[in-house]
Amino acid sequence: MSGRPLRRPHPPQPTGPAGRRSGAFLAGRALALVGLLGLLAGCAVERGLGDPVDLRVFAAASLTEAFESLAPDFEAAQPGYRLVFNFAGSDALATQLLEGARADVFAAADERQMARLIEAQLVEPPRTFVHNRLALITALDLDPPLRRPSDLSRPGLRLVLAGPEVPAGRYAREALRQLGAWPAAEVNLVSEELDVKGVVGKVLLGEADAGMVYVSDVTPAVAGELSTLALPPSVSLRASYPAARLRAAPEPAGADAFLDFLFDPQAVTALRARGFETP
Amino acid sequence: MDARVRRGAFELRLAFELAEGETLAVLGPNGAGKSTLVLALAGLLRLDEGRVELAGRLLEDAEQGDCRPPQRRGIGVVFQSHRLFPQLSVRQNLGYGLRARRLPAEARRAIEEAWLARLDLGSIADVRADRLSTGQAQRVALARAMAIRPDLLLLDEPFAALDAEARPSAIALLADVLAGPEAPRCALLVTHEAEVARALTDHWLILEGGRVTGRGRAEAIAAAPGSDYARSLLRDRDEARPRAATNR
Amino acid sequence: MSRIGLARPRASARRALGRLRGEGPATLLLLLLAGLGLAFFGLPILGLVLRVPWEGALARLTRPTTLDALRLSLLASLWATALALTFGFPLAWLLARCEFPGRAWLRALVMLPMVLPPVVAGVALLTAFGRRGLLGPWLSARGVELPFSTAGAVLAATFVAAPFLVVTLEAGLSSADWRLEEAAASLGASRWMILRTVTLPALRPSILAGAALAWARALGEFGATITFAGNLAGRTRTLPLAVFQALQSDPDAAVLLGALLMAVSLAVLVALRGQLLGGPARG
Repeated sequence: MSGRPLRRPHPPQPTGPAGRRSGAFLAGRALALVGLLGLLAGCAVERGLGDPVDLRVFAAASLTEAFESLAPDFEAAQPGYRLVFNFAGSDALATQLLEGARADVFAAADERQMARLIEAQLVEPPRTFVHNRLALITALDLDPPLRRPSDLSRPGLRLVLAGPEVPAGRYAREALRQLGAWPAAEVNLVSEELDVKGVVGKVLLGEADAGMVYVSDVTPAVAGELSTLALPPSVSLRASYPAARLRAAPEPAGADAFLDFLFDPQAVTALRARGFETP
Repeated sequence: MDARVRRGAFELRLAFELAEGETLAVLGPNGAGKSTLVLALAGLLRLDEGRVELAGRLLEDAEQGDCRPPQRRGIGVVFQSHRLFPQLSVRQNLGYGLRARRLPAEARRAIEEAWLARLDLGSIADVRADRLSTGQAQRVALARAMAIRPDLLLLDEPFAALDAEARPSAIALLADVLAGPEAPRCALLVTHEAEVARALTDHWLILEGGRVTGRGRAEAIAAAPGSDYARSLLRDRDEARPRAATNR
Repeated sequence: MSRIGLARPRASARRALGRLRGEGPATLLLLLLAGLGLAFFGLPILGLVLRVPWEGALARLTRPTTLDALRLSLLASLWATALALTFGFPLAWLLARCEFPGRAWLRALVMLPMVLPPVVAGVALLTAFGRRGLLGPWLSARGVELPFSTAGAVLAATFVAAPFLVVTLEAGLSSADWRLEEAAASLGASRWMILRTVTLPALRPSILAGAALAWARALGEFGATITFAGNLAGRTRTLPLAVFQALQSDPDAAVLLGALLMAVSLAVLVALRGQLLGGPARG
């Protein structure tokens, strides 16, 4: 293994907080594209002694901020590795992996997408490392403000959800049903976004009045520009995030180290701070 | 006409008058300002100074800012490369000016038929203009300009595109039209070939470098040529025919 | 090679050799590169076609959601083309025929949507016509809500597609023979008549080519649409959006929809191509 030419993709540039605010919903897609292009066009470079090895992590878009904040800690603990992230919708990532994309770790926001890879025998058994709850977000200047979920069906309100194919969209509909607001609110649905970041974007830009996203999507960067309505505890729904090492991982040891790191107290604290629940 | 026209670095300055029924040949080498003169008269180029009158009507007066648009000048132009509308038929080309004048269909039809017959275009009336030979195109261009019954007919190198064989008959036909009952009040023939000018008129104007260097009867200019160019025109007199042929 | 040359008169043999020496390798290289280019364009298309799940294709294609997306795509792209023609022609005319200060800047501005990432174009449209956009309050006071509406999808497609038309038309107008317009003017034609009878017919190939380009671009439009108009079945979910969405749930359907999109565009472009070849021959 050592000494072989290593294809190094250009690491995706993390977008700054300012860029993310206006284009949060595109960041995931853009990064996925950059990652893909990097894989296609990456130039072969001889690895020098002592250079860190790239560890390629395909992660759900909702993990973007959390994983980026974790990266320095992991790289400090494991100086032999440098993390290269590919953030996108779990479904898009799963499709990329099924089409033969090379990666070390897959962290999905949805057990179904992981199941696709398990079925294709592409991954080792996964471990669930976080859960995510849902929250209702509304524009700050929404008048009158949203007081209860049933307000979602009030005439003229513009609701956006992720599409029913996207885990966030599926959970959102189920949560609204448990709250008794669905399907009454469906008449107000103006757009089915392609991922949960799209929902945040539409509400942030003021084009939509309300949306349903994960608690972790209300990042510090956007928290001040949205009002968030936590769902009552009676809603038992939560998304589970499984992570697994790819069977064909070029760096299996590094992949295991990263998966272990996700259960490290340091990482757990950081993930909780981002709105995730840990098992 | 008494005017000055600037076109880039080139300046044309000339004054002349045409008598009723007169055909004037404007002769000059390349770059003398012949095309500029045609465009200015037709109203496609504004005068910088001076005025143009035609048949007692003021067409343009630069000082007063008056300028009649081309369509209200009563001037017909036969352009050097004919400039027929390629996607239109011969008949449609011929009737274009009449259509622009909103002539009733019947009146237009009559004029079209008359000119189709006059210039022997009847057999190709419905042929598209881009399928014509140069000789046919030249006749259509003449008919198109004449159909609007212009007060002044401008002919800009009308035979330049024709080969030597087609020329004599084309020149004869034009001479016939200019002498016929449908003739315009006056005509201006722009050419660089003495042979062509001589065949149609002996009223000449020599234009060189944007200035008039000779005006009068062809014989008078021959007797006392005002410039080397005028002299060269006349020297060619005897070998005019072969020269024209090699020019092609 | 030289032996063939020897059988000919000397001068022409040298010329033939020269052609072979000078052009041979260059021609070979060009052919090689062209072949590689063809493979580059052809392989993905071939891959897609090979992946099409023909079994049950008809049932999938005739699903109401698919038909809705197809209908919306055709509607939005045709409207976008019509709007691009209506406003693009005068713009192209302005750029090609009028001298004025800042023309280069105006041209760059008109072309900007071609290079702008479509998602950015969508955000830009929101900042202009969105609820909080420059014209937002004015529009909503008149009951016009563009985001999340079919009109919004049309607008998004027009924004990204129109520059292709303007650029093509401008090139056509610049190279068109203005001397024919002079001839028409000398015959007494009004500006309008000149435009109708001389300028537009001469511009036919450019108009067709530009419209085809713009239409194709509008048909494939994705980023600006999802950003500005959102994604709702029957209202703003065009075929590209449907393809992307299907990729997440039913990849087979995505491939099928992609192939459908390709077939529709190919049919129209080939049909127009015939028109284009017929056009310039008249020039």
